[in-house]
Amino acid sequence: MLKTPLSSKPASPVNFQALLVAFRDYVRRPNIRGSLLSLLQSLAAILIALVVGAGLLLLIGANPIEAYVALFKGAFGSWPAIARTLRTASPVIFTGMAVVVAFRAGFIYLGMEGSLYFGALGGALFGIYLTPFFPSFLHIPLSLLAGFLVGGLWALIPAILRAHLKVDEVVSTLMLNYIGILLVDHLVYTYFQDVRDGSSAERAFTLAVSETARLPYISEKYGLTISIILGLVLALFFVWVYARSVWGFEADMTGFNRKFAHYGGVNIVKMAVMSMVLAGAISGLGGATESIGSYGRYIGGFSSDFGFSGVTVALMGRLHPIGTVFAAIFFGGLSSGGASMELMVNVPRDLVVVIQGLILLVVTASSLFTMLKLGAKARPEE
Amino acid sequence: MLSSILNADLLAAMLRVATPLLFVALGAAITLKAGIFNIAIEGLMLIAAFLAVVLSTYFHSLLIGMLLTILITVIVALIYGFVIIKLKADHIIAGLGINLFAAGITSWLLQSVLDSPGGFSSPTTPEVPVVTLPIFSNIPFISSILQGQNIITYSSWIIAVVVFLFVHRSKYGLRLRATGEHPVAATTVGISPVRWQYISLILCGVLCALGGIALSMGSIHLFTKGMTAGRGFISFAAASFAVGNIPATVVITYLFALFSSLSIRLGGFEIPTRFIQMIPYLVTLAALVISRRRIRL
Repeated sequence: MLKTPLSSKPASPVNFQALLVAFRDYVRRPNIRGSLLSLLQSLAAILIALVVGAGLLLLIGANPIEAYVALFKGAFGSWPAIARTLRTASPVIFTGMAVVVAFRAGFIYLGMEGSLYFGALGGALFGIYLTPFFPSFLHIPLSLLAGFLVGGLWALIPAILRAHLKVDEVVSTLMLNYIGILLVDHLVYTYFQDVRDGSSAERAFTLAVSETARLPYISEKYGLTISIILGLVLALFFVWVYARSVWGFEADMTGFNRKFAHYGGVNIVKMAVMSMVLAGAISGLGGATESIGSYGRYIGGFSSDFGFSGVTVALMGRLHPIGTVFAAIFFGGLSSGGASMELMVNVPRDLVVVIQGLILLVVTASSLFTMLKLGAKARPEE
Repeated sequence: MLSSILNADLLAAMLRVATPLLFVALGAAITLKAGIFNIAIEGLMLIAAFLAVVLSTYFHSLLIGMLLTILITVIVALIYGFVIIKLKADHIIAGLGINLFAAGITSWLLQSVLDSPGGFSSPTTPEVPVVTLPIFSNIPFISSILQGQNIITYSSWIIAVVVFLFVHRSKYGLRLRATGEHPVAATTVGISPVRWQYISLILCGVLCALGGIALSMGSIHLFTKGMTAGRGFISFAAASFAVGNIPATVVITYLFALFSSLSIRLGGFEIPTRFIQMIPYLVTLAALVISRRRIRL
């Protein structure tokens, strides 16, 4: 067989060190224009979702302006509204941060919901049964740690399947969510169910977490605990991780191009396991802040889709920790505003789920700008 | 004991479980062949299940209800297609968006338009006709399996054959597969990958609509909030396990359905209900592990 001239061309020697340095500079350069564009794109996604939502409201004969005003007032109109918004945002900051960690390394881990439940159970059990041994300043961190570890342990299953058996993590984590939630409920029903006051067996329901393990309230009336502050600290920590730490750099490199990272010396298998387990652990931590926070126990079905909301807020925040926090607060506003909108103008709060779905639908649309002819160049092809 | 589980009833139950899954898995297989990682089928199926019950009740006509359901589901599938193809959104994320949208809009309409939050059923919902094929009625075992199966189950087999002929035996199927396997090569011989991706999504929309209709109008006539409960994902897993190969997709879907209906019958034994509920998801996970396909990289 004849060799074509093209294939006989020698591979050009690449100075890999120089390439790595260039990549690091590319990732870490301050890029105001890029950040502004990202912000605009998220805002465009929100705008599109709100406009389509308004159209749907018109279709069923509701007044969209009235509905949105009620939504906004319910979200940010008063101190109680803001407190409720922050309360709803708190768990979503954690699941959002979990998504940031997994997605930035290029793994589409969607198992936040399952880990959230495991973490909530882990935190609750430590909070209930370790009571006589620890004072509060140790009991709270230990319960949070329990949630963190149990959530991570559950994420170990898809992580190992992904890293060692090449099982695609998207569908496996979706399945493990169903399995995990059923398993946690089963465990609670069988071993930890609170049966003292003859409470109905409709829901899994543990004993109350002891006072020494309860997270302090910022506002007890609105259920706002210091978990929102923990979420902020976590976000700031990850700002540091991605700006300064070696692991953060390696994670970004893996997400940018897996082969490139591999040639650059990153252990991809280890990175896959670590990023997914860490994502699960952060979700678990979020679950624990709920069970030892405002709920004070593990309650079956406590999460109203906090896991997938994490995906929405992380992508609206463009996978940046601080952006994710702001997006989570926006999301918290949508949810708590939706509840008061339902009361005030009789529009079901499911409108909020519709808006969230629409945001998710278009938030990654990289050609949105060229389509909208906003003048800016679209993001380069990956 | 074993004969009390493995009998004609089990196979009849398997057929009822399999029919919605089969339609949706075929739809997933077609889009997979066109190179789309389409997990939006969960949402498409949910929308169709909702519309099928509501529209056929509203119009007092099964036919109009089904046609409108198919039409609207196809439109939603095309919106998904526009977003991922034209706007270049991420397939998975946009798919999750469609699923969330479907969950929200069905629940919203249940509450605000139908005024029955949680679910919808009506005594006036037209029923899907039950068909008894005379040729099988004298064969003892088969007749008891097929007894009470409705027209949707039979049509699913015909459609599976049609889809097989289309994907694997027609020149259009060849173009479809070329689109997914090597879009650049497809372009060089004059095939438009974009057009074929849209076509695959239209077909997927039709099939998901039929799957949703089979789910809510097949053996029962009601819609409950979130009634698909991961069936779209399971069908997607079946299709990706089979790498979009149609006969393999059909076989795997029936295996999934067999395990699911087995799990329902285990209820009589001392197995906690939640473990029984887990079985379809565990089987799907096991299938993923066995296949170990790098379907997305």
